[in-house]
This record gives sequence, structure tokens and C-alpha cells, in this order.
Amino acid sequence: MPTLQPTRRAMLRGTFAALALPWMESLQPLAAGEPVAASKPPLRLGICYFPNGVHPPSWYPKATGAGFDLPFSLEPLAPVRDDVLVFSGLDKAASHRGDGHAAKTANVLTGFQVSLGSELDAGGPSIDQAVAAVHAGRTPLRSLELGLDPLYPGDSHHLAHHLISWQAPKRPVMRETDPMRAWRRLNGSGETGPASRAAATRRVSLLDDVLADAKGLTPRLGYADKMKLGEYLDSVRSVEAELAFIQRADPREWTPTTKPEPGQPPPANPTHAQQVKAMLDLMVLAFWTDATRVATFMFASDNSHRNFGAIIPGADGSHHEFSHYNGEKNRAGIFKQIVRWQVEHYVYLIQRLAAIKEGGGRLLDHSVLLFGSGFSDGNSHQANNLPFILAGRGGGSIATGRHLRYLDGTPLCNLYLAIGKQMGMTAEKFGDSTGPLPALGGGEPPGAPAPSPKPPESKAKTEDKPIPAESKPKPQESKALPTSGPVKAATKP
Amino acid sequence: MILILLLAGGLLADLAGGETAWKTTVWPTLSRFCLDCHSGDKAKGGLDLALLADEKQAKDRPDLWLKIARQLDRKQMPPATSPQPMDNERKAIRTWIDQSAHADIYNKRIKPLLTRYCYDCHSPGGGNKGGVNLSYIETQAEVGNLAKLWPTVQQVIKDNEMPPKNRPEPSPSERELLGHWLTYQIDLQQVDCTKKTDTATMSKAAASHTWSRPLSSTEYANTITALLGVDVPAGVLSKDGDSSLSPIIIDERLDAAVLSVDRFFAADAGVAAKHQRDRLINGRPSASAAAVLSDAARIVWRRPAASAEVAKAAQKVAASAATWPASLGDGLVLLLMSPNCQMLVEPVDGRKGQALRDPYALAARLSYLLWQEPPDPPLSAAADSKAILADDEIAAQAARMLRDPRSIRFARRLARNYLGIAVLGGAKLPDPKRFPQFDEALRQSMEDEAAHFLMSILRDGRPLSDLVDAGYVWVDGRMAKHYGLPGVTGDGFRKVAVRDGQRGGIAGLAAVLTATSYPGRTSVVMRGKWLVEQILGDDIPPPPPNVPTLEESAADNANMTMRQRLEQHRRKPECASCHQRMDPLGFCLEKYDPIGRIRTTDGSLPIDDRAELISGESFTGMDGLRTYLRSNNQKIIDRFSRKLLGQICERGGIPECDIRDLFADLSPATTGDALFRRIVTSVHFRQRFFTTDSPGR
Repeated sequence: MPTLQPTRRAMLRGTFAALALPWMESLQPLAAGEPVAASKPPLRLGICYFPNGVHPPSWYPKATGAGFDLPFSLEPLAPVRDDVLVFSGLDKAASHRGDGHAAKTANVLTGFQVSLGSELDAGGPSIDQAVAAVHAGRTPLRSLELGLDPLYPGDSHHLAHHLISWQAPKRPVMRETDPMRAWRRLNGSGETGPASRAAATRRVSLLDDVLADAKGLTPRLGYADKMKLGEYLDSVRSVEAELAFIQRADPREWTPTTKPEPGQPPPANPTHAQQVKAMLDLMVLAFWTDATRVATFMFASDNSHRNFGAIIPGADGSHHEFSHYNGEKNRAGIFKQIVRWQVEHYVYLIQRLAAIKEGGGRLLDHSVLLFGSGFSDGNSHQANNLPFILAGRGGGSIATGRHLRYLDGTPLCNLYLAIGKQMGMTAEKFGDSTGPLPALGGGEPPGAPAPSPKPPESKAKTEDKPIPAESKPKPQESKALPTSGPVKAATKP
Repeated sequence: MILILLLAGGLLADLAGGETAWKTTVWPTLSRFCLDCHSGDKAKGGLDLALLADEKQAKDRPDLWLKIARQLDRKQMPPATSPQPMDNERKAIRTWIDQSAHADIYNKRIKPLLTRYCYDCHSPGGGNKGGVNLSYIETQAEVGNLAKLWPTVQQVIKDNEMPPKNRPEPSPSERELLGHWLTYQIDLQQVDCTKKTDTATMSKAAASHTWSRPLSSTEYANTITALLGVDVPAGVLSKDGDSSLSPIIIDERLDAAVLSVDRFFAADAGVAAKHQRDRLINGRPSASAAAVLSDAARIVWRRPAASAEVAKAAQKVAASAATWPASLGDGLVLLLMSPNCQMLVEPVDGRKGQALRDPYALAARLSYLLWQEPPDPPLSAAADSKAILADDEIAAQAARMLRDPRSIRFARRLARNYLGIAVLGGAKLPDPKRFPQFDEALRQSMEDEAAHFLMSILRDGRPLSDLVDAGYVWVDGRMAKHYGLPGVTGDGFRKVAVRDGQRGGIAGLAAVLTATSYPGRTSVVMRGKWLVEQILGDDIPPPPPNVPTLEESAADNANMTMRQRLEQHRRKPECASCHQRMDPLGFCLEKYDPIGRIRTTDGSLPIDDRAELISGESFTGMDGLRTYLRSNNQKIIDRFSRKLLGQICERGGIPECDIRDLFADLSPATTGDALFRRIVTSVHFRQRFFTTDSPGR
């Protein structure tokens, strides 16, 4: 149990203090005598969303089963292919109709129809929040929402591009979009605060009154204003809950067996790559220290016009414009590289979690990391055959290292339901699910063709270098793209 | 009925002059300027205008005219290198297109396509899928009724989302026709100001643009200081960023409130704190906690608070273990942490369509706009008496506040926004080896010079023509030294006359010249682009893909001068149309080095600051540029006014036609204070909601 500390930030320092084992021991399992039952690691759910879909020929493997090939955008998966499941055939029927990106983004984790009326309505809670509800109160943070595009007020259509996390159909969970702020949220950074339990009680009481006072204001505001006030009040509630968390005995049954290195704050003027890595590092940190068990990260809001010119040669222009490649080879060529760049960073996250030992295994083994987009082909916006990848063993329930091809129209929500049940959800239905997705733990999806034989070339994977944790100058980074011969060969089994 | 009138109108137009216009102007103009390229078997772009020689045939090709109209409107054709028709000739062609070729393009060409590919689903019979009923448009005259929808229709067709995959697909030529028509409609909507919108009607979309924005860190810190006379300790609040209110922000704002309030009651808190303690507490010994809290709320909530609203805070005081007045502490923290303080609240109060801000919200907006702090006593009094609702009073208050040094906070933001010099504070810094004198102090002085210059135009009754042609600069000692102006020392900024023609006006500002340079050298292209985009307000599209940058193509030509390299670059047709607009203007500023000082040579090369425009016009250096800018003053003033409007109203999306109305009679002689008054007294600053003609979001 951590020492009782007054402020929320000091509390989070306290969280780390609880892990204050000598560094030499940190990569070792805890000494004998630690209660075995108390040290079973919990499951973590991390979801990475990327905008604007994919270039299908560069994404979907042709071969299924363990011998799946890695098309261009997926090549970076080579070093972690034994830890991932690549899906085909998953579908979000509620997005078959509806305009542009909005109707396909806000519901990517809810599976319901998005309503873009005067108030944005995502139809139901998102899978991350449904799981967070199960674990509420067990960790200092209920969940962690990260993104990189700030949210500006606007109408429901505008907001729908930015929001994937929903506590309730009309109640989005706002994201932290500034890496430094997010870092400070997870790391006390030496700030001083009143150092007594009385001070913490004073703060909780003050915040309580702020919430009570604000009730009178809400009915007097228009929709966009209510959203902004809601964001304010949700944040007040979070701070209050985090303060309250440290005032009682730590309910966490899990005590991490290794501790993070002292964290460095993100750089002051980060490049886009540094921003992405900073956010992914924070997800790692939150899972590692059991600050939360549920986190989402949006590489960008949908319909993103980010210019990748500084990262990918020739990519000067808008991500969204490239995603509408309209059959043009040059544009598709850039687009699939942008997707691939995002896959590289997903791999970075996987590798970081794989490198952390806990409870006699890897943190990755106790995680489910999803990576996906709101529609498949960036050019035509179909919401069927969604590009989704899963990494992590889900506590041993998931047999990774395969490409699973499901029958067309299999609800994406079946995957969510299966994951949710693993993580303690008791409901038998989620979104438009028809049942938990089969074959995650092994075997073939029903009605699927026989798996293809495994190509021998896949052995070459170890030669690929992972993205280093520290930021690197741009030229080196582009060299790190795994374009070496053996991996390319894997695409032509 | 409408249809009959329309047909009759078209007929009348024909009789009255349609035929004549074709014969006297339209066809002769087209033949003279277009047929060289667009005729015969090798007609460029496959567009053979010779086929249109006969008016009857011409009228029958509305699809071609859609393309032509757009090219004409945007002056994309004839190409800049070819002879250009006069504006009245362009106009005559456009008028003819609207009245003849396009007279019933909707019924003839478009409606059949919509019927075939869209009505199945998007009509009452098809269930109005997605809430879209396209069959609602019966005639051309009604096309504008769906103005807000057309951009979406255009987008889903362009994105291949519609028609859905399992439906019949339009042929490429049908798709193209529809695309041209939609583009044309959308363009038309954007410039048609003849149909006035009713500003009292508030659409849902418009209402959602209104927002009770949160205070920035700076504004919050100033608000605390206005209440307590205490400065928030450094490092507690993060730097101003986006409008996010994440938990870490709440956490630090709570810290700031608690630390400042605790400090407020300390004996050694300082003169300002003592003044506020006397004003709120000690000066009125009989006042109750509720009375003190109400007065405090009046300051930090920017409006009178009902007693019920401060009841919770009063309870806190009553429950406090501390002695009076320190027992007020938590009550004050609660007021500061209330959303009523943290956000500039714009209540709706159920009166939808009620457009005008109440006096308190108006005073608060004005005060945070100019000073980034809550209204001071005179402004608060004008809100209490509702006097601020009168044009003369709000204008007088604004003018009074502009004269206060705190307005530099507004002017700095205006300078960054209007001049695009925000980059100076960020990643863009001159090479420290070559320009060791460029430090943070100089950067701040450069920015402040720009801010003082713009503010003086708004404040001192200077004409807007001063923007490009001022005859004076605002400098402190540091800038005077930088510019080589004698006799100015110290920190304060003052107005100094300049006579050599090299300074005075936005183009000679060191902040601008530095922000548009590379770290180690000047950039003709960046400076030209800045003039064309930032100052003249024209769009320069991004370079086409796969064109080597100047740097790459220069590798082979290391011994060429910048001018030669640019000239080579411009020979590529895909580069020419933009570079021939940017580069000449940029050359005029070559006499200014990368940190904005006058130079006589560029390395070993002589300065080459001649400009030759595509029109053949040529001029040299700052004098020439100033003359050119003066002749474009109307555009420059329009651009500046729009930026100022956006900043004062804190939003974009003001209907184009309203903007044109507001600025209709601006001229170079209009004074800055008149412009400022016009904006702060306009309905756009006073109203919470606005209607918008602009389509989509």
C-alpha cells in the first residue's frame, strides 16, 4: 500500500514510491514470501486509433493462419508477428450509411449508429469505458484517454471526428492532447503542495462544492457550451476521485514487481514522432504502475490533414488528401507509407510492453492492445472488413501469431465482447454483437478457408531493429524503416 | 408561378440584349483570348470552343460553361502568360452564361442525374435516407434552398461514397458534369449577397458555434491578481495552450487559487494585496462574509452574484476553523474554481434566438479581449448601468482601454495573428553563429515593435494606409540600435519619424523580415509568399507533388545566383503560376538581411532587389514595393480588417456577406480607431449567436 500523500500529484509519486524496489531487483520476480494470489497481474486494455483508413492492397495479408504474409503497410510487424493477431472480415454495420468520417469515427468503439443531430450521440458506451466501469475505483485513474489533436468546440458533426471514448451515448470522455500535460498527470514533477492529509481533505471538499455549485449553470447553456462545461466538471471529478483514492486503503490487489526508470519529460518542442512516442510511453507507464487498466490513444482525429512531409519523403500535403488516392499510384504510395508509419509506432508500443517483466511473464502477456481505424479503404470509406490488429496474450486467453479471416459481416463488436468478457464484463451483448468472437484462443474462424502454409522466410524477422525509445533525428528514423530484403520476401510466399 | 416568371425573365433578357451581348462581346472576347489554344483537333484540355461559335449550340453545352465560368471567376484562364480580357469582358461572359447557357441547366442536365442515381433513396419515396431529400428541389430557382447540403453532396461523390457500391454508378462524364455543377453552385452561394439572411433566425448549427470559452492560464492568473492583489507564484500554471480543461489544468488551477488565497492573508503579501484586503474586507468592518463574497464574485465572475450562488462559499467560511478574515479563504477559492470564473459563460437562458450579449458578458469579453483580465471599476460600472449597450459607450470604453498600457497584450496577439510572426517565438530562430545579437530580448522587442505599431494605428486616429506607408516607427532603445536610429535609448517604446523610406510600415518590420527568412539567409520565396498570402490575402496553393524544392534543384547549379535559380524554377509551368506572383515581391526586400537589418551586399554578391511582374510592371526595392502595395491598399485593408474582426469576435465563420456589409466603405483614409469602433459596436461582437451562410460546419 502506498504511503498516504496529500495532493494528487504527490499521490502519483506515491504510486511509484510503492514500487521503490532497488533498481537491481527491478527486473527480477519478487522475492519468495510475496503472496502469490496477490501478485497475479491484472489485464490491461489499450486501444490505438488511427484515422483515414488504409490502402487495402498494402494491408490485408493474403495468407491466413500462422503463415500470414505482411503486405507493405504491415511489414513493421515482422519482429512481433508472434505476438499479434491480424483480422479480416470484421464489420461495423452501423456505419454502412452516414456521411463521411464522422459517422464512422465516433462509434468505432461503440458499434452503434452515430446520430449527428443537435447533440452528438454515439449510441452507447465505448468498449474501453465499459471495461473501465468494471475496474472503477480499483486504480487511481479510471481510464486514460490520449490524443494529439486538440478539440475545439463545434457542432456534433465536427465533434464526431475527435471522440471515440464514451461513458454514455451522449457523454464523451475528453482526451489529453498535450504530451507534457499528460506526462505531468502521471508523474509528479517536483511541484510542492500542502503536505498533510488535512490539505487533501480540504481539496476534496472544495472540489465537491464546485461540482454542487455548477449544477445550477448547466441548464442555462447551449450544446457546445454544455460540452465544454462537462469537460471542466469531468476533470474536477477526476481530480476529486484521484484525491479520494489516496485517502483510503489502496484497493489494488496487484503490486507491480518491477519499477519504471525515472521518467524524462517529453521534449519541449516535440516532433510529431516524439509526440506519438511520448503518448505511447505514457500508456506503458500507466499500465506498468497499474495507474489504470484502460487507455486509448488517437494517432490523430479522423479526417486528419496532418502533413507527413517531414517524416516521409514526398508526403508534403494532407493525410486525408492522400487517403483519397483515387487509384493514383503516387498518392497511394504515400498513403500506404503513412499507414505503415503508424504501424511502426504500434509495434513500438508492443515492444515496450514486451520488454517489461511482471508476474513471471511480460506485461504484454497481460495486455490486449488493439490498433484499428473507423473504415477500411481510405479512398471509399467502407465500414466492412475493418483494419484491426490485436497484440498481447490477454492473460493467456489469446493465441497470437495468426491472421484470422472471418466471414464477411462478422461484427467488430464480437471482438469487443470477447475482450470485455475476458476483462470482467458480465453483459452477454455489446453494441451489435452476436456473440463473443470465436477462435481468439486457437482454431480457425467458422467457415474460414484452411490456413496457408507458413513461409520459411519469416525467420528473418530478428534482423529488424525496433524503434528506439529515445527520439532520433529524422534521417536515422527513416533508415529504421524495415525495408530489408528478407522481410520483403515474406510478402511473396 | 416562379417557373413562369423565370422563363419570362430569360426570354426578356434574350430580347433585351442576350443576343446582342453574345455577338458584341461574348463571342468576340472568347475568340480573341481563348481560341488560340482551345480550338480544333489539338484543343488544349480537349476543350474545343470553336464548336460553340453559334449561340444556339453554345447554349446547349451548359456542362462546358460550368467549367469556363469557374476558370473565368478564378482568373485561372487565360493563363497568366497570355493576354488577359478586361474585367468588363469577363463580366459580360459570366452574365451571358448565367442568363443563357445556365438558364435551366438544372432541369435539363442535373435533375435527370439526381433522379437516376439519387432519388431511389434520397426522396420521400426512398425514405429520405440519411435525412436527405434531394427531390425537394423542383427547379433551378430552388437550388439555393439546399445551399448547406451541396458541399456534402459534392464531398460524398468525390470520395466515391455515393452512390453506394451496390447502386448504379454515374459514368465518368456524368460524374464530371455533376462535380462542375456542384462546384459552381457552391461558388455561387459564397458570393451571392443579394439574398439577405435574417440574423434573428438562429439555426442549430449556428448556435453550436457559440461557446463559453475557458480562461487561458494568463487570464486566470490576471483574474486572481485582480481579486487578491497577489501574483500567482511562477511555475504553478502551465503556459497558455489550447482550450483544454484536462485534470492537470484543474489541479494546477486549484493549486494557484489555494496558494494565492493563502498568500493574500499573509502580513507581508505586499501593497496591492493590502489594498484589496482593505477594499474588500478591512474597509467595511460590518460587512458579513456573504457580502464580502458577493463583492469578490462581482469581480471574478464579472457579474453580480445572487446570494444563493455564494451560499456554499459562505458556508465554507462559517465552517472554517480559522479566524476572520483568514476564514474567508476557502470561500474565495471556491469562487475562483467555479465555472463562473473559469469560463466566460454565455448563458442561453432558454431564449433561443436572443442574439445580444447581456451587459456583463459584453464587458467581460471586451476586457479579456484587450487586457486579459476582468473588467476594471469603470467598465463594471458601465455594465451595471447597462450604458455599455450603447454604441458610444462601448466605443468609448474600448478607446479608453486601448490607451492603457495593458492593451499591449491584445496588440501582441494581433501582431502574431495578422503578421504571422508567431513562428519567431517557436522553432524559427536565426543562426546563432551568424547572428549572435539575436537573443530573447531582441525577439521580444521585435514583436513589441510590431504590436505597438499596429496598436498606434487603432488608437491614435491614424489612417489604415499607414499599414504599408507610415513614415514613422515605434522603437525602444534596442530596436533603434538594430535599425541604426540615433537618439533612442532605454526600454520604453516611442514613435520616431523615419525619412529614408526603408522603414515605416509592416514590410519593414524586423519581426516580419526575420520570420520570413531562413536561419542563415533571406528567402525571396517566403517573403513573397508572406506578402501575397498574409498581407494581400490571396491563396497560394501548396506546391504540386514530385516537384523538387529549390534547394534540391540548386544542387546542380551551385554557381547560379538566387535570381537565376528562381528563374529556372519558374520556367517549369507547374511552378510558374505561383512563383511569378511571389518571387518578384520577395526580391524587393533583398536589401534586408535575415534579421531585418539593412545590408549593402549579400555575402560577396551585390544586392539585387529589382522586381518584374508578369504584367511587365517593374520596380525596385522598398520604395517600389511600397508603391505596389499602395496600389493594392484596398485588398490589404480588407485583409487586415478581417483579421481584426476575427480576433475581436473570437471566431471565424461570420457570414461573408455580413463581413462585406460591415467593411463596404473602408478606404485607405479610414482611421484605425473608426475601424475598431465599427467592429466593437457591430452585432458580431455583441451577439452570442450568429447565423452563417457558409456551408457545412
